[in-house]
Amino acid sequence: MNRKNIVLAFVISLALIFIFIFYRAYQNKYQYLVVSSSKPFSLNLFNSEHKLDSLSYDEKKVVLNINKSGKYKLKKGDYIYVASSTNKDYLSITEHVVLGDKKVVLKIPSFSLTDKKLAEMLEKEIEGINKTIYAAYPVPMQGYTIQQPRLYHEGQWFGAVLMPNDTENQDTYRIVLKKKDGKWEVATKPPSILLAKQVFPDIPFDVLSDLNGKGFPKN
Amino acid sequence: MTNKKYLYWLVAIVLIVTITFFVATNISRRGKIKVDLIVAPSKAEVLIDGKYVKSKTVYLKPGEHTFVVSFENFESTKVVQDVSVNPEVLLAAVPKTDSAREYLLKNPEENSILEKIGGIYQENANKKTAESYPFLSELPIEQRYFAIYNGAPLRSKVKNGDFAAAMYVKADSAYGRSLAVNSMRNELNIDPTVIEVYFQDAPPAFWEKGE
Repeated sequence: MNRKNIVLAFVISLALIFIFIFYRAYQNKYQYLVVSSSKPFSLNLFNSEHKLDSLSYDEKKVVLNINKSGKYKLKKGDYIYVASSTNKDYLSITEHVVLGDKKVVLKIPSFSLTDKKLAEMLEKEIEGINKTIYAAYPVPMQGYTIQQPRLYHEGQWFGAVLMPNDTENQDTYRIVLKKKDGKWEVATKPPSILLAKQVFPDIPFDVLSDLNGKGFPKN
Repeated sequence: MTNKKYLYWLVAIVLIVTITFFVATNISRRGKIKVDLIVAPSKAEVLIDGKYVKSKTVYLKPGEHTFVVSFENFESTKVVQDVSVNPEVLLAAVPKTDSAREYLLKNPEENSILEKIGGIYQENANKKTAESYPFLSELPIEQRYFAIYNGAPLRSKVKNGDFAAAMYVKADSAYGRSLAVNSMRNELNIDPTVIEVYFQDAPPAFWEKGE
């Protein structure tokens, strides 16, 4: 091999190494976001503004707009996604998503109905709910009333505060019911002063948390 | 064939076999995590996701896997662990018969490994509890109408490998208990939904028909 060929081989090798390095650097800038949803949706992705309110974004700057489940390649970074149902009776979901060194699988949570829609549904359901509660706890309910009743999510969860008639000496309790096969069933057996996610792992956290924030006098 | 040629062929075959082995091993391990199994007793049988494994070092796909360790006269232990989070799996079968205890007496090394794993289990549990519930370090809180302190969970349903904790509230009035809940929010800065809270002195108010 003459000297010219050696130099040529060296240059080509060097060029290949540089191409490989640049390719890896380019690849490292991006990451996959896998979006999946069981129901029709529309999702907009925005760059996070890194303000104190972690869910702030510039709504004019849409990074990605999709309405199909799939795998999308995006620059690594902090994003905010706004997922909406195609049905106007449902609330949209705004959440933070970080694309780092690992592929992110984003399973869009089920959409909740709007408060207005849930209130309309509650009017039709409240009689059946009351009957279920009084039938489950006929004696204790003589000293309690159902207050701040509310349906959650798609109307399949119900929560309320059980307020004692004697508020001085008795505790307020929290109760959750679930509609199963068209019938309401008590999901928090028994109703508790506080509802913990580890004690009731099958009940959505937001339902438990909302009820735990109700009925306690502020000191 | 001359001796020299014979040697060349031998070297070439060894090289090809080595390279093939290296490439095949690398391909089969691509995308997998090296997981170390620390097993006690050391001769115990280990099943990973229902498949028997001999080696104490295995390569698994990232994510949750089920490990079962079993040994004669010992109670099997099942561990569900996400190897992407922790690639070291501690598997200790629990002695359940006199024969098992006799085995450990005769094999002090096995006994010491078992005790060591027990210690690590406890240490991990304490560490995980401290990470999951940092506010517990601020307990006890003792005030005029109530006290809040650490306690063992009574009703929490946890998956194997997870840890639960609880806070006990000592207050002999409904007013004191509601002050304790407010204190959780205002002093511990927590949403009390994240942990089981046991109100020691609260009389049971709700019971099912026939209870």
